Amino acid sequence: MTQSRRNFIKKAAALSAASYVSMNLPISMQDVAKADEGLVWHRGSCRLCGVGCRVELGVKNGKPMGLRGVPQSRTNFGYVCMKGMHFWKCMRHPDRLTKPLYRKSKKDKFKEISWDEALDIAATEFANAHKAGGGNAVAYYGSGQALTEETYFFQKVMRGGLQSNNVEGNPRLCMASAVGGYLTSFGADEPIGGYSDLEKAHCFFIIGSNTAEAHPVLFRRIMRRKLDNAADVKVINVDPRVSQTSRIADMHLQFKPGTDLSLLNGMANVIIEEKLYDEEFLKNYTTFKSGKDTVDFETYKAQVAQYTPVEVAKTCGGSFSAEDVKTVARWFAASRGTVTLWTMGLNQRKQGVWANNLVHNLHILTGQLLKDGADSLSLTGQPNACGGVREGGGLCHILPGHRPVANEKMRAQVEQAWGVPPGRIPPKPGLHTMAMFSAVNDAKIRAIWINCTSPVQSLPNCNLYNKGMDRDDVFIVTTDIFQTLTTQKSNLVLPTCFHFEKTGVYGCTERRSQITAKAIDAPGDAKPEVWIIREWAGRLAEKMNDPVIAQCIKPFEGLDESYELPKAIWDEYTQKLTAHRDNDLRGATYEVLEQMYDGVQWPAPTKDFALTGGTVKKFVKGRDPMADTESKDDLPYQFYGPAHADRKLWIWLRDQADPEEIPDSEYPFYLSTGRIIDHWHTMSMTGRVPELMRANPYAYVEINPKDAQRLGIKPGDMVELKSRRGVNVLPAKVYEGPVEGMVFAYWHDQHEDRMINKVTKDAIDPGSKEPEFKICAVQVKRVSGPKPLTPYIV
Amino acid sequence: MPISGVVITCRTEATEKVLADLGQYQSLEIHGSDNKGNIVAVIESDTSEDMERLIDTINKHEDIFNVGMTYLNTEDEAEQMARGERLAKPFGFRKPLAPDPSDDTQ
Amino acid sequence: MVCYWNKNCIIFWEDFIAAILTNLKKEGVVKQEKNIIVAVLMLILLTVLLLSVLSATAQDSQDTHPELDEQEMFIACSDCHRESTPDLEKEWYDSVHGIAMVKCYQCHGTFETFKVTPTREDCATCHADMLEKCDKNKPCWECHVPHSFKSEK
Repeated sequence: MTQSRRNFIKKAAALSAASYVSMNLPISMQDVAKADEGLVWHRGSCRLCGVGCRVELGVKNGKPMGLRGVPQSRTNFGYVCMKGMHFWKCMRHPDRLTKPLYRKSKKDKFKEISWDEALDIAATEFANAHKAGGGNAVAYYGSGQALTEETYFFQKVMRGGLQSNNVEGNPRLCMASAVGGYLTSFGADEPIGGYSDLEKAHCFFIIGSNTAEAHPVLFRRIMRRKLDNAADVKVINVDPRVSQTSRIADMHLQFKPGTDLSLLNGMANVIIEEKLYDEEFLKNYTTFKSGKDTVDFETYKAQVAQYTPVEVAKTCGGSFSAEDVKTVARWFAASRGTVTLWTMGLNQRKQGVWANNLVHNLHILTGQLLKDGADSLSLTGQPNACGGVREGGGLCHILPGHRPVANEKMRAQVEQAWGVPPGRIPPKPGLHTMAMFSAVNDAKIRAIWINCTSPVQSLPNCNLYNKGMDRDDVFIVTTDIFQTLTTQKSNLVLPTCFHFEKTGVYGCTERRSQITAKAIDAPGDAKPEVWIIREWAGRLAEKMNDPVIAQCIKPFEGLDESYELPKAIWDEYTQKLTAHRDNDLRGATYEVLEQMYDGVQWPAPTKDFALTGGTVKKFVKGRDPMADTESKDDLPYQFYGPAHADRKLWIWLRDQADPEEIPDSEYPFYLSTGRIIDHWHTMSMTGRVPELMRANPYAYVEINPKDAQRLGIKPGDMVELKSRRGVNVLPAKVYEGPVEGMVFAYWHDQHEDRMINKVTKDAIDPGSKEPEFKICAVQVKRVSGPKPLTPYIV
Repeated sequence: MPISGVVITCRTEATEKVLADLGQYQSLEIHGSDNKGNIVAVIESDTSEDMERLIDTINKHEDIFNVGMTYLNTEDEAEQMARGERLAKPFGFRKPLAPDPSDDTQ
Repeated sequence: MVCYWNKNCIIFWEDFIAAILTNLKKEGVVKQEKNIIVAVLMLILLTVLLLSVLSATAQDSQDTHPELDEQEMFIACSDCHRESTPDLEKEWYDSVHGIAMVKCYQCHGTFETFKVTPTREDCATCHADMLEKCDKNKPCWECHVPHSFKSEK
């Protein structure tokens, strides 16, 4: 601080104190340089969860000072949760990575190196791996927290440059089943409606979601709707575990984990039996599918006939009655508008896609779609799983703009947009996440780039894949802001800019793209990912003597990394890759996005339409511009999604099927895992904020009081959870939460004794390839009384 | 070098004495006082810890009721952290200080 | 004498009480008790003074949470306060803040940043629009009484 500034501040301090006691001081402020600009508020999105709260970061003289919500935003209306409130403290945290780190062997210590050296090493290693094994030997594992520009640019270099479809991301672990569900049921990914339906709904069906803790600011809207209309609005909570969400529920149905498929079928059974379905809607808009066959309503009716309420109540474990099934079905069908919300409870399952289909079935059957207050609204976990990964081509089987890799015409469109030779993009999808890390285990992948995520902790059955990541013949480069368990297994660690230190777009749950512009400088030598990708790709092009790689970065050369570079990437993506696709974002230019308090819901083909906020309801003529342009007949709803040639909604006949690993005599308990409100994922960010750390310093295991009594477990006791794969020792919370026969563990802890993914199972949904984090079998045993524990952060 | 503005409230009749006593502290600059026992001062210390130690000490003065902070600027500490320095207790992060062993009134 | 909220108000009040006591003494009503009463009043006034100055400050205040050891600090605020201040905790739990899981530390900070009374700026994090609509001279909690937060209207 300069002396003049110091004097200025001291005078300000004196005047402030004097004003409190009405004391007049002979101090004049005129002769001091006005270095103090005051607080400036910079608008952006929250860094965490899929709600997409809009916030403003208070910055004074280049330093972050605080945060508040944006009241005019249609996502959060000014509210934030504690994570949003505090995440900005990561910006100037002393643990921030500020210099590239390298070690040749993973057994060595890291050494600080220059960016020049670091980028050179990254390029050399990838070039060598590619020389040895082609596109199959390299991989990119990204994140639903990376900006859309970052994901899009990474996958462009991977596919167009390195000719590899080994492009994946952590949304595979979280939303893949929802994607599969939407594509197979509606023919297009992502919800038809959005948050505006919450204030108009008369029935909330919350299944497989603890909205109160996982999407708190949306829960606030549901809570308000319920509290203001207690008699008119019904809330149904379906979860094997009683959670904080249940507090506003009129009815809570606890079922044996994995049996929700029969409950959903049971509801369909009642709706058909009692003629609560919408015949007109079914006639005009619905096809019935079973396996590879097209069937009809009668076949569907016969299939659900076996799921009588009595049968369902029994299958689900007897915690609720047949009458409860009927009540819930009637409320769902007869309400003036029903919104279903779900996240991991339905997605992280071997039957994830089927569970999603069964939810969509109910909405199609009852016509609870396309009108205000009715929607099947899959809640996205991460802030940019939709915008970046699902829309920007961040999974092994999809290209930007919702295009399947396996489709030649689609590949040709992308190749043309990129100016790369036809045939450049490999025709087969790459390895999905679990297969990718299996390939790392076998060193079939020789170089992998892990961006903004920590698979060492977040993969199911993590011990198995950690072995592979320890291998010295697999080169791992990680980009992150803090040390994590995954950077600890890397060869090269590159320090990146955090949120608000770089510019880019996040697309949240309700198809809404929102921009966060750079507001402060990053500490040390941290760089934005888009710069890193460009510089790395430039060197790749040289080392591999490949002009096509150079072509991939050509439109972005020489652009300033703080703003012009991400803008150019966004322009290429939106103008060239989303044009005339169902996620048309051509109207959502940076110029438009910067004018919005919130953002733009696609499709938004024009700037004018984008400025209104975009499409609130998809597929409805007059409300969705593409429903008008793609209209094929006189009907008000047009299902133009890319996946259904018959342009209909599909009801799928899906039967109850067991999870992969259910309890038996040897491992008698269900283990489920999940989140608590104070922490985000692997807590590398939230664990560094004292307020949040102290709220939940460890992973706990929740045990039902009856089970606890049988096993002699008291609150705070240390409990061992053991599966066929691994062991954890966790402090116990005895809590009327999990249903009897089930325990529930939080997954944020980095400590090796409390990392629950050592215990979980890596079974996957055959369609979506998403792992079944939510269900496996364990032994539960009391180990000792309470022990003093220490929170652990790498 | 955090800077704070404080209002020190003392017994009205002891104001002269308190002003004299406060004069001994290098980090404290008196800017004004009135006849109601209010003293306006600015404290500039090396670290947040020093600031708090000083305020605790002043609070223990027998004629001083309270030291109320109305303004605190810790930009310097933020700058230091941004430069990569490790600060023990930045931004006034602290546990309450241990009781002063020389103070036998506690 | 100008009486605005906090310091001057208290000092005015102090003189007023002193005047009453002087009169009562003259009337022979109060004798030895006066010293005790004055002492008690001074104590009350000091506390009010302390709290009023602290609540009126815009920046860091000097509130301290009762000292806890390291392990105790890892217990969630509400878990401890369910035992130590059960009425308050229940009031919060049943309020919209409780249902929406707005936790203690969001308004009151954690140990190093603890404040008994949040300021209007603290409420502004979520309720910025209300700060425009409501009386700027009142702290939020005068009408929105903690911890049930039902408006007095």
